[in-house]
Parts: sequence; C-alpha cells; structure tokens
Amino acid sequence: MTLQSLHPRVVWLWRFQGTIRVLLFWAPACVAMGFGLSHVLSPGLAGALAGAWFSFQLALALFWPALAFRFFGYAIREGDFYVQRGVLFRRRTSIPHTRIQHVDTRQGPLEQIFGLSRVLVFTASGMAADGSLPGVEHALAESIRDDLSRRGGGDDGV
Amino acid sequence: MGRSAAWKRIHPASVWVNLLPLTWRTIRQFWPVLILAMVGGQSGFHIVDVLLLMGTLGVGAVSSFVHYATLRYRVHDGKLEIRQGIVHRQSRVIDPARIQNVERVRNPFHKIAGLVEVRLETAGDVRTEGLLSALEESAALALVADIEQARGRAPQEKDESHEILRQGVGELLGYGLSSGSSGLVLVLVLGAIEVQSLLESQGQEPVVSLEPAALLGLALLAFLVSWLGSALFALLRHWNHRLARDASGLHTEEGLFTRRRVEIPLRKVQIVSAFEPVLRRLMGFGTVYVETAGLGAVVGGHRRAEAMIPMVEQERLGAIFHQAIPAGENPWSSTLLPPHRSSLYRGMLGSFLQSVLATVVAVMALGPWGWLGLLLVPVGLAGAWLDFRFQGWRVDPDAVISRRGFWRRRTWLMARDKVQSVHVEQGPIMRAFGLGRVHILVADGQVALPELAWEESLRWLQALRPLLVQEEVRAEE
Repeated sequence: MTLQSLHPRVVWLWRFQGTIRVLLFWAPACVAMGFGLSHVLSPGLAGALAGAWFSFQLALALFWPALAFRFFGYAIREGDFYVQRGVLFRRRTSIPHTRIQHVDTRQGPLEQIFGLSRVLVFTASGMAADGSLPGVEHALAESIRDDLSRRGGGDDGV
Repeated sequence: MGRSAAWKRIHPASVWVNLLPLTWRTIRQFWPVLILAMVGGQSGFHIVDVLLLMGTLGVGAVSSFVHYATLRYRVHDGKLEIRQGIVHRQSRVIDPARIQNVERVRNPFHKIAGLVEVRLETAGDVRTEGLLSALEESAALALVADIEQARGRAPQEKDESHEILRQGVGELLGYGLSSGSSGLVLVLVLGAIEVQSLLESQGQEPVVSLEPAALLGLALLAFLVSWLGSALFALLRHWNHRLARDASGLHTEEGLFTRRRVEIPLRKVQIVSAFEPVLRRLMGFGTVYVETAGLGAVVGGHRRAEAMIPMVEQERLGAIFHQAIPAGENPWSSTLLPPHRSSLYRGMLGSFLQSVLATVVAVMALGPWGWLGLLLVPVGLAGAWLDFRFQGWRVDPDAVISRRGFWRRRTWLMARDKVQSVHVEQGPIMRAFGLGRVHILVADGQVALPELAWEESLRWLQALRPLLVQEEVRAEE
C-alpha cells in the first residue's frame, strides 16, 4: 500500500501555530509559574525552572511538526479511506466508503496564508470527524472531497 | 401520501402542561443570575425578588404559548414536517426511514390532561429532533401509524407485543443499592468535615469530634445516604419497568411519576451491552443497555443508551442480548478469546506505577503515614491480573463480542453490518510490549477489543471493514 503524505508546507504551518500557542499561553503561564515557585524555592531556581519549561515548549513547537509530518500518511483505497498518524501515540483509521455521510474542506486564516486546507470525513459515528487530513493543497483537498463524496452512498449502517 | 396533508396542532392544554418544564428550563439557563439577585443585597423578600419570580414565570408562560401557537406538524409526501417559532422560525423535515426510535413520555401534568409527549430521534444530533410536547393519545398513535406507513409498513391495529421481562420493587431496590457512588460518599464526608471546621473556627460547639471512630461513622452514614438516594431514584425512574417485543422491535416502559415508553426497531439497534459491577454480579444480576444511533436514556446525567433494563438475572442476559441482536452469539455461553499475554504485564506495570505515584503523593501530604500507600501495590497487581483474566473477545461473521473489566465488568455485542469505521491505537508503553487496541465505531457508540498483538490489530483493521465481510466469509468457507 502506497501512502500519500501531506503537503510539506504543513510543517511550517504547524510550527507557526505552535509558536503562537507558546507565546500566547505558555509565556504568561511560565511567568506566573515562576512567581508561584519563588515563594517556595529560591528566585533563581524558580526562574530557571519556568525558563526551562518555556524552552521545552518552544522546542516542541519547532521540532515536533517535522516528526508528526513524517508519521502521517493516507490512502484512498478500493474499499476505504485509510489514515495513519501519531508519533508517540499511533493511530490507524479505516473508514469504509459506504459509511461516509459527508466530507468537508475547511480553511482557516492561517491555512489560507499557507495555501492549505483540511479535509474532514464524517460518518454516523458521532459529531467529530472520523478521519481528517490537516494540510493538503486547496485544489487537492477539493479533489479528495469530491472523490470521497462520489464513492460514498449505499447502506449507511444506521 | 402524494396529496397535500393537513397541518395538525398540538393540544391547547399544552400551554399549562408545558408551563412548568419551560419555566424550569428558563431557571436552569439563568440560575447563576437568579441566585445572585435573590441572595444578594439586603436580606428578606423584596420587590426585585418578586419581579424576578414574575419575570421567570412570564418567560415560561410566553414560551409555552408561543410553542402551542406556532407548532404545526404533518406527514406529507412520506416525510414528517414540523414547523415552529416566531422570531427563530424552524422548519424541519424528517425522513421516517431515518427515525431511530419513537418515545412516548407522560409526566404528571400529561396524565392529568390525558396527553402524551412524542419524541422522535434520528442519528443526526444529540438533541431530540422531533418533539411534539402534548398530543392526545389517539393523535400520538395516529402519528406513529402515519410514520410506520411512510416507512412502508402496515400499521398495527393493536399492541401484539409479548412481555419479556418486568422489574419488581425488590429488583429495583437492588439496582439502586448497587449503584451507590463512592464519589458521592467522598463528597459527603469532605463536606461534613468542612462544616465541622467552619463551626470550630467560629467558636461554636462541634456536633461530633473528628476522631477516627467519628470519621468512620461519618463515612458509613454517607454510604447509607448514598445507597438510600440511589434506591429511591431507581424506584422513581424505573418503577414498573417492562420490556416487551413485537414484530417491529423492542419496547420499554418505566417511571412512577413520568412514564416513558420507548419503541426501538430491531434494525436500528447498534450495540447491546451488559454492565455487571461486582456488587450487582454478586447479587446475580446485570444491567442491559440497548443503544441505537439516537441517544435516548439518561444514565448518570448523560444521555447514553436508548433503553436500559436495570436488573436482569445473569442466566437471562444472553437471551436478552439475542432479542436485541438476533444474529449474535450468546457471550455467556460462547468461548471467548483471551487478550495478548503481554497485556497482563502492561496492566501490572501501569498499576504498579500508579500505586507508587499515589504513595509519593501520600508521603508528601501525610508524612510517614503515607508509606501505607504501598499497600496499594499488591491490591493493584491483583486487580490487573483479575482484569486480564476475565477479558475476552470474539469476532463472528455477523457480530463482535468484547468483554472487559473485573470490578466493573462490561460485555458488548454489536452487529458487524453496523460498523462505521475501525481504528487501531498504540501508545508508547503498548509499543514496548508490541500491543495494539482495536476500536470499532458504530453510529453514536463504540466497542474496544481487549489488547491484541500489534500485527493482529492491524489485520482486524482490515478485516472488520463491512465491505470485506462477505468476501472473507466466502473465502473461509
């Protein structure tokens, strides 16, 4: 089975999103953590611990996306849509074409800047998408959406 | 069904029948504001409180009237149409083939007015899709008959169902007593200790001293309150519970003040499961849940299963499963396969690490007494072994069976033709042991198999796809 990869630009998109998250959430959280720890530890040690945690989060935001990209793969096969993902926690998903209820493509502001889209595949199993492709070129995303929608239909098992 | 059908309305008495439920809904939406307004400021009952009370009742009354005045429904061109609302107008068309189940509910107000509430659920949403809050019994039956006709089946002239099971008071009390929550006990004990500390800090005489014997008594009292509460709730909710079956499917009926009747077509059943916590198992019973794609029954505050049979004798569990999913084998008389051997080692390692972590926290909080937490290690290891020992699974051409847990044992049976998607997961520790877990998703539910070897999990990822089922069976034959 030959697996398709996401578009390589998604690595930079994830790095960008991760960095924003670190700056908006972890930076103030680490400052607060430093102040909190300074009541029980020496100010220098408290600052070092908070700084180390911030650096760890920043490193994670910068280096993890390349790993996540490497472990992501998908395939539209004869009978199903197959997705594999996960670095530490691996997940393999098989969605039979007949069970697909609808397929969405979505594009947030950052994804528009990077020229990427998300493809979300829904079955009747719940509110969240059963399978998703987080970073493919917009034209390819539309083509995948149309392809999967065309293959769907028949008994939905509900 | 081709001609234009006339629109119908709900009963005029719905205005007062729905008054209390809609007022209650308003209170639930704005309860923080209402409580702040009522208890804030000066003590006593003031004009602001009166206005708030009148306003809340007024909103409920207006909502109830608007609901009656604007709601219309009909079965037209084979579809159920419901319209309502003035500001937010809503028009909904429901394909009868997509209706998962029909529920008829009668609260005390419905009973006084001789009315019934009809709930129609599809798989699309956790909210009830079609809610007709107050119909005459005859109108409700006519609507159900219209829906059955639109589904292409002849309406039944009379109820030809035969009773499968009826719950007595003793069984319901047993159900309630075996449902007591240890979490509630903890909250009650901690709450009592908090009140005690508060009284002491204000210089008041404590009711009882906080000595070990008193604490033990307090915990026992909390258990008693928890059990009695559960038993009372079970009696109210499941009073005179009845399970029946006819040609179209299963029916349940229950409730003391609010009587709830659910009709579940057999072809809509997604999963049937049995929950046998250790206390209930020792009593010789288990609880059965029948799930469709429409989330119906409220269990522990969550809408979870469409029908629940509180207490089923263990020797009858298999028969009830067979009524819900006739294609499935009896999990209690079939040979189930064990999980992978490494699953035991992973479970024991996880349990050991949890016990050590709990001990470290206990030592930090309690000092030397915290080392007693190490006693959790053998208990946890024994629990991991028991959990491993009683797990099992089986995949047949038509159904999947899975059983997990010892203290809170659960057994699932699902029809393979309902599979929506299949997932295999593996965390870092599972990878070290070469394990994987298969999750099989159906509409609004899922079954997880016990941990298998990673390669075997991947094989089932392929084999459980419904498209390949028939080909595989033929190949095996």
